[in-house]
Amino acid sequence: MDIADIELLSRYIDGDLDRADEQKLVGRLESERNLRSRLEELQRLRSSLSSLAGREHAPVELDALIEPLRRARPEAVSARPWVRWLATAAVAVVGLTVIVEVNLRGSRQPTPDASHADKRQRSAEPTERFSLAPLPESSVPPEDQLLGVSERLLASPVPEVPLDEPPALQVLGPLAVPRDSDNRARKEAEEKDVSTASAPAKVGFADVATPPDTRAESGHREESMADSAPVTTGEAAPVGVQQSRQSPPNRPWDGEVSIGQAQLYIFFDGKTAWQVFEPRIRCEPGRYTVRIRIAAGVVREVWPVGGATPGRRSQHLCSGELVRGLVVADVANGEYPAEVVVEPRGARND
Amino acid sequence: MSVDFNEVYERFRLPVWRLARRLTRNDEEALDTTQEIFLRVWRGLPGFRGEAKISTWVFQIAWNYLRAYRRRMGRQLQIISEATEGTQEAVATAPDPRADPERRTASSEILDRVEVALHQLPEHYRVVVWLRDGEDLTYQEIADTLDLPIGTVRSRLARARENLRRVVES
Repeated sequence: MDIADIELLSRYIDGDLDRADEQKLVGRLESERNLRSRLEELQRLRSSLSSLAGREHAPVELDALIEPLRRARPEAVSARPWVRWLATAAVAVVGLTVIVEVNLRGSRQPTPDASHADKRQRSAEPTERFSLAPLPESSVPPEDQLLGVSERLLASPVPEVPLDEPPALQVLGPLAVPRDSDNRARKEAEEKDVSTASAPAKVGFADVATPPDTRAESGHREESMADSAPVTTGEAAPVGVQQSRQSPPNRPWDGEVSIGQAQLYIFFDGKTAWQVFEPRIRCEPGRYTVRIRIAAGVVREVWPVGGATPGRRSQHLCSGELVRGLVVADVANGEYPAEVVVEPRGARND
Repeated sequence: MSVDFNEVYERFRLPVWRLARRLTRNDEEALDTTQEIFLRVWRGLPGFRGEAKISTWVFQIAWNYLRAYRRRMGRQLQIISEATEGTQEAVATAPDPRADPERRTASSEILDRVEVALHQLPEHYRVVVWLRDGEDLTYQEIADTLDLPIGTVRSRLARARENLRRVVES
């Protein structure tokens, strides 16, 4: 039996033949026993494959792995392209306003009232610039981006980005820069209520301009981040990772840490940046704390996925404190260097 | 067009898992790749405008990722999962199901045999026959998913079924 007949039979059992071809084949089936026998075999095979699909069940671990995504809301930014146009329009309006203001100031001497107004104006202007990362052009990721960040990182050296250099910032709109008192009040409120999955915290961007201070604050916040819940998500953008290995003084580090296999994204929904962190960290069995510092912004909380997954390689990881998600507040969308520190739980060597 | 990720996940978690399992032939890798696929679905969902059927779109992401993953891993036709090795053993020791024709499609041994045979097919045949017979996609949906002419889908499907039949019968 040649392949042409096999294709005819194959299309016949799928109902893909036109009426004429089907009638012709039915006539042959009545007279050709071999053809009829082959048809029955193919039909049984098709039935077996269908039954094979029906007897499978997705593993329960999958739901746990996908849970952070199920809680997230990626549509906040990219589902509304008009938001980008509005942002662009806002830039144009603000830019025009600034130009007009500068021209007016240059053409007149400031009065006492005007000088006071200028001070208020300056205090409300952001001091640095930030930029929004480009949104995906296509709904289906291009093929060269199909592999995960973890795999790309495995294939290439980990980018060495100095943490002391803040990202280039570009003002895209009139930003409300919180005053110090506002920052304190907001952070106190955030510390009181970190479980805001349904009501994401609104944050400003003032801290983006001062990475050394925010990093110091990050160290302070990291004390409570291991027991927090996720907040919210938005658009994804990969971020750089800076490798860091530390030996805590109170316990010798004898495990292997491979931060190069970490997977890092920054998500942004216009209010809160959110980072998914999926470490592939090999280390001695035990309980560990994973701390992440982002050069710009404040690591507000992390979302630990506790416990190893039986039967998977994560059971060989220090997954008692495996962190899959964290919230990075006060950071604009974009690419940022990150420092990841893994240490036995309880150890502090700041 | 607004599509909720949770709905997409509930609908396609099992089909994507099954496809990943067919193509990786390893439960652990299937789990990892399924997670990666749904991360891409999650990221791409806001841009989904409904030009294609959601099933085609999801399977397209899954196939593109799995193909790139397989290429990256350089895996060839090896049955490496413990589960599949166990299945092979079971198939080898199972009684000949052809002794009782009525039990052919019903017995789990036959399904195990078919699964092992499926794993031995070249990837371009395996994915076509699985999407058609396992996931019940139409020829056009398969063509869209795999970015192939529909004529190629027809011929590949016929060859895949014939190869599968030979392996099962042998």
